[in-house]
Amino acid sequence: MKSFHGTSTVSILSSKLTLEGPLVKDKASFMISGRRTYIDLLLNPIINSINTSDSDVTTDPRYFFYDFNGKVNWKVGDRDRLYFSIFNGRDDFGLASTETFGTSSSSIDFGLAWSNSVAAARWNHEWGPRMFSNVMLTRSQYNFRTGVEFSERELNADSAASNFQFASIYQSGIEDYTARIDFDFTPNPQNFIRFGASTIRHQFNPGATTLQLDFGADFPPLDTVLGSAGVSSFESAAYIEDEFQPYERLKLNIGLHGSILDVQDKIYTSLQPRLALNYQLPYGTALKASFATMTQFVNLLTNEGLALPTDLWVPSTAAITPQQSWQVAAGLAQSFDGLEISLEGYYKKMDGLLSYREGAGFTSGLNENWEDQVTQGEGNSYGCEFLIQKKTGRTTGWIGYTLSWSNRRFDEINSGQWFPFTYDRRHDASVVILHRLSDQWDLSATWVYGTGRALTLSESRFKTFIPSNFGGTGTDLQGLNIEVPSTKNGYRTSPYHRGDISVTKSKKREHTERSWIFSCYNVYNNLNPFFSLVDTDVNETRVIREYGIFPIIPSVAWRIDF
Amino acid sequence: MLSTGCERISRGVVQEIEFPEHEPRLAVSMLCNWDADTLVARAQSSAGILDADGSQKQKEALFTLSQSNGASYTWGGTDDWLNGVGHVFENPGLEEGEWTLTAEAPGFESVTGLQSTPPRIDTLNGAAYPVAFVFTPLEPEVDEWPEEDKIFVRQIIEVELTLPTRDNAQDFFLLQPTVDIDALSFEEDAEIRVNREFDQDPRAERLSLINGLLVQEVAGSIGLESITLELEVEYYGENLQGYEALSKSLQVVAITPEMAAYYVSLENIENPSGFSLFSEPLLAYTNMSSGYGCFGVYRKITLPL
Repeated sequence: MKSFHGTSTVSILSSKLTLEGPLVKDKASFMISGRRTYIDLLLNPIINSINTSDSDVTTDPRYFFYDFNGKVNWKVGDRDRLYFSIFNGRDDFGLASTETFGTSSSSIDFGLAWSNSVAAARWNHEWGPRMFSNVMLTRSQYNFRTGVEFSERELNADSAASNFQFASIYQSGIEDYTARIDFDFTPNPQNFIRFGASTIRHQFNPGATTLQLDFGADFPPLDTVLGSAGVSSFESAAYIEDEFQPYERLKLNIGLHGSILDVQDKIYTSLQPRLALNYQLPYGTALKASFATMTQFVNLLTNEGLALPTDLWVPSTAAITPQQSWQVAAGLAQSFDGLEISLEGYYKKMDGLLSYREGAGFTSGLNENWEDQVTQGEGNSYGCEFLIQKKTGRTTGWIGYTLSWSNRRFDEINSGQWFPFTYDRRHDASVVILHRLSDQWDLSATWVYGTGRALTLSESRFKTFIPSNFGGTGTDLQGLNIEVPSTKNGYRTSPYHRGDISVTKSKKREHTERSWIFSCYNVYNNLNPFFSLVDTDVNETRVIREYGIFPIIPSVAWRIDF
Repeated sequence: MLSTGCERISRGVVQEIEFPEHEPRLAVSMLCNWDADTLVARAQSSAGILDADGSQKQKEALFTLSQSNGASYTWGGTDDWLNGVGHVFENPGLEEGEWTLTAEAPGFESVTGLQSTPPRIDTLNGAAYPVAFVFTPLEPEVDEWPEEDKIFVRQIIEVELTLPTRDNAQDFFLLQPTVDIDALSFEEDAEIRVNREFDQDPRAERLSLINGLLVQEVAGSIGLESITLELEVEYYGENLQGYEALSKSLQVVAITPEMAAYYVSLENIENPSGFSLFSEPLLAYTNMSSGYGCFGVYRKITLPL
């Protein structure tokens, strides 16, 4: 609120700018920040210059994201503050390929894009030394879009273009309007009470497919939208929780959340008790434990196809019950000699989980209601997390490791047997080391590892014979070669692992600090799978062909803080 | 290194799959009309997905149909093998009820499957399992193609069906329109199909495998009454008399729940909808103990159009 500051970073991969400063001195301030990657622009020419085996084919992978943040902070009085903020971001991934044959060309473009935007207004009020409140109004919009566009273009002898174009584009989205109020109340030093309420109007557009066909000037084009009707709902909630210390060594947090959903003339209600404790053992060891029940009115619906798991968020409706879950967790934490070590185990049980029925997916049954394509079942996840962290000294960092299981069971899937969820990740590890060589030089290194995604592959096959003409004698049978998959999600993609390093040289001047950042992303050039396809190689052997996006990427960036 | 990485972006990275060794099992297909003179069964070996020889027919397979009351019939072996068809069994007029099919072949574990025969379907008043129908043929549209000395006929036939239901069992039917193209001359052609007007009826589901429909009861519907369809017949030939002589019919096939599940799963496998990029391999339904194939029984009636 007093002075103007900013940070600007420019690199060969992305650019970022943050500016903040006073609008009215000691009264109002602003902050704006934006960044944009352009790694695809850098990589595309390299990919096509290397892919010289077929000069008639050009491949253009596309990946970028951008986001923009803006915030205004207005100190209305000694006890009141107003905040206004906006956020807009977009991730776009795609792969386009164009093949040229003489005077004709065909191209295919497959893409996925996600975008988010949020606008919020917040009012903080201090009612007195023991009571503080926060009122917030927000509008948020989430959109998902994927599709395939195919086109053929031919130049005739008279140079008149004859075109064919087909596009199938799937879109879904959620628009939310939220009002919530939260209070912090400290009636005495032993109790810290939080309570509040919220209401959200959800507008879900669970999925619509746009089909476009254009056969050129001689035929009328087709442009039609198929798909499910939107669903609107009102979700309201209230909660109260008290954090108190009955004994010197024991801290308890007891809470009760209640929620209600009004959708399609159906009312769902839920009460969710929660309990957390922290008990100080001798020698600086802390024992933590918690139990929570939760009800979720927005359901994750994952398309578990081989190529790319694709998540949609769909509402609970009159036909789709809310997701219920409970979780217990317990752990130990210990600090000594600048090191913090924690070990925690957890178990979570979920009911009312949603999945596509076998054979269904978000792009199948184009004109069917999405509710007719899903089924509900149960799930569990459990595991343990270990973290050792060093926060002081010239060398800091952490090592984290999680061993976990996540399973699902649906009556209509995998013959009703339990199977690993597609995001079941047995091992997840990360190592981060930061080292300050001097006032000017900093080093950092990161390594991450995660078990590959679970997927289903065909494992055997057989030939079957069925009557296909019931007007005949019954002996004319149709033969079909049928592939038989493994048990659901019985295989894994390659694990994800990557190492990054960076060296930063900084120089402070009177009003600025300038830095050169030399970094290398994916230093040992492991092309981690982003999507996968089953393929047959030259030896007629079936393989998974995994496509990644980012190889080793060295980069230089220049940053100025002012 | 950067260039190597970019090349792999373009072509992908191959991950070898370690498939477990496959132990071949018997895959049995016996989907038969219980009232037909001959019943056909086929046994094939299952194969690993990388096995170049694939699924092989088992000419030496033996099949036994048995009932708990002691009735038992065995056929098979190379003597009963009919090329292009399978192992043919001359039907002695098998009783209705619950039957167990057992298949054995050298080198394989024997496999079994269980079926209960569906009731005999009939159009007679007072029949135990009756189908009622009304066919309304609309005026045929005739296009003359004088340069070829041929005509093209298109006719819509509106159909209203009421299919039987039972209180204590699930009822499934296949509806398949057929034309007798074997009776046509070399210069004639004909086709019949179900138009998409049934789409609003949740009781009917298209099966491309049979160019027809699967009909079943669904929650909230009024049994299987008043199922309306629109059939479209196309004929290409020399004159209208040729079209009028065309034999057209609707096959109404009562099938068991197991046979229905098998057709639905095969349909989903053979004719998936949506982007293949997002699909995953599907398991074919089976009621055979080996996990491959199906023992299904049907009974049918032919309704001339």
